[in-house]
Amino acid sequence: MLLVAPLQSCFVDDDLHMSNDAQDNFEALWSIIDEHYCFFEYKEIDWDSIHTAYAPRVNNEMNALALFDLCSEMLDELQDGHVNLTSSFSTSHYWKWFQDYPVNYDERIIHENYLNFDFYQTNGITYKKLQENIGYMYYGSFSNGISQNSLDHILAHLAPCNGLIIDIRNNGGGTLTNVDVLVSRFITQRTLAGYICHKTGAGHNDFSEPYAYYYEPPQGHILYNKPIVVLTNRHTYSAANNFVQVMRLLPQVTIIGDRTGGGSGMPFTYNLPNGWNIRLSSSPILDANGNDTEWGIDPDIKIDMDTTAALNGHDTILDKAIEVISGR
Amino acid sequence: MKRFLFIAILATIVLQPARLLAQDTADKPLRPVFTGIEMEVGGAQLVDTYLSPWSYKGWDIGLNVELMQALPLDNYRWVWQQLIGINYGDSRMSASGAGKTIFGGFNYTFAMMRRSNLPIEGLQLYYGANVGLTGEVLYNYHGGNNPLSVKADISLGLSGMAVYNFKLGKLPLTARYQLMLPVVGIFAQPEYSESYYEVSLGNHHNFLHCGTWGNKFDIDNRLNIDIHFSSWALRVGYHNRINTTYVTNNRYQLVQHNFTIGFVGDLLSWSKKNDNRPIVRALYDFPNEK
Repeated sequence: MLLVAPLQSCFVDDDLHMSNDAQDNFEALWSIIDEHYCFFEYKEIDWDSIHTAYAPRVNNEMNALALFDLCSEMLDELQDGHVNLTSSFSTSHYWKWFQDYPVNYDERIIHENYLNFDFYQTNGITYKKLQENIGYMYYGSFSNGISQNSLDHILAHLAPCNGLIIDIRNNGGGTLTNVDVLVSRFITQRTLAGYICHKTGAGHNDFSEPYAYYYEPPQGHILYNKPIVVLTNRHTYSAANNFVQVMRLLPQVTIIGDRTGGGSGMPFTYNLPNGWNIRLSSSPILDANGNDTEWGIDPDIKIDMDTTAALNGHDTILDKAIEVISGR
Repeated sequence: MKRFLFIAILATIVLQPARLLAQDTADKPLRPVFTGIEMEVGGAQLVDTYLSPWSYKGWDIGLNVELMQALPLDNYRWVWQQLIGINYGDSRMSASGAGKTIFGGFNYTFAMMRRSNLPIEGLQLYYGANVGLTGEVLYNYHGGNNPLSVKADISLGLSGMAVYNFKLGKLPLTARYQLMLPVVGIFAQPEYSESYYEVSLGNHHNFLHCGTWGNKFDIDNRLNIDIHFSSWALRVGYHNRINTTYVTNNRYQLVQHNFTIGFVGDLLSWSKKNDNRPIVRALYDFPNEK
């Protein structure tokens, strides 16, 4: 027992001095971002000067909502859709990354005029053979798991078509393993997918060496090697952006639509002492050429939906994809 | 299925003495396997900066099994000991009571110890070395890509205990303090903000670490009293475990303080032919010097 007492005091409790007030939580938030956020240099953000600007506005008399609003305003300085502050009463979002871009997607137009409300759906994927003998699949979220079995059914059904349109407009991301599952059906050999790195310390430039990662075609499953068009809009974000950054380097793939939303940093989440959670970009994922796509990826063919044509039931981005695959 | 697996493991442990006993020949002392099963419950405090920079505190429960047997070496002065433990706990942020981290794990230690009589009657000292395996999983409910932290290590260390057999009136008691102190080993820890997804992609650089007291310090303290009733004893005590690592700019510390209660005793498959054989116990007895 003589040993226990001094060893118990070995527990280093950094919270002992904390009173969990507004200033403590503001400083905690600022420090977590300072030590873990990965795009300070890439975005040329002076985080110290942001502390200088915002810290004087914090006082312990302010209520939780006022503190939340102030912290949210500070987090907007990071210009990052992956940064969210979550409390029991709200979640902050940085909206500006897509505000200046057209919507470029209308599900009703596609369902009514291209799919005729007659399509198959599985694992979050809507698919059908279009009239032009072109396969169409819409995948709205990489959070929806894709089973290899379902993907075999989808690709077998669409195999007779002259090409495939993969529509990932408004796909806000999800799980990276689903990117692997889907991309792997469109490659015939082990393919460099990109590089991933992570922070190795609290310094703004403390990063690991980029680690190359590869995708491999699954054995015993259907592979698809005809022309492919991937449709994107600004809401194609995070894991969906990652899907585009791999697919666009495949020779049979054309990207059509609007610039993607980016979001190439894998987010980590941490607590604040008051129980709020802060999500932040922590681990940059680079494309196969070593480029960061945090700000988004330009399509091969840039086209917006014609709003007048949309009134007549036309999705001009989808029309363009049909035109490209048809060779017209 | 899990229940059957548990029963199978327990049966293996309980039947172990009979198997070992069969190895004894008629002219050698019987060496019963000291066996103990304990429940423990108490409090825990933890910090794992991979998950959260803040400390958490809460409750912890566990189950421990202890096996020990004298060895026919150096006039039965040597014993082996196996300690198997599982635990589960639930904790909240110390600063506010918000947030939640649950944790659970297992530990296994095999020790070889030599025992010596001390000048005080009934007092014995055990000292030796051990090899240990530990696994602990922490899950923080904040979600995201880093909700999980996995701890695993294998270590070589020191084991020692002081055992004092005495009587309170007519009631025989055994007081014991045991210390286990890993010295060197190997443990797993991702880098500062490295995701397990990246590790799963094959990036194992700097994932395994050589553990020494410079980056990892664990200690296990057990204090208990066995109150003897016929051939079995009721065990009550205190169990303290401290696990600490500081590597890749991540700090992890788990401190557990638990009260224990259980039953212990020597398992022996008795038969008439063994009537005249001497018995060498691992804990409650010490053979006469030959």
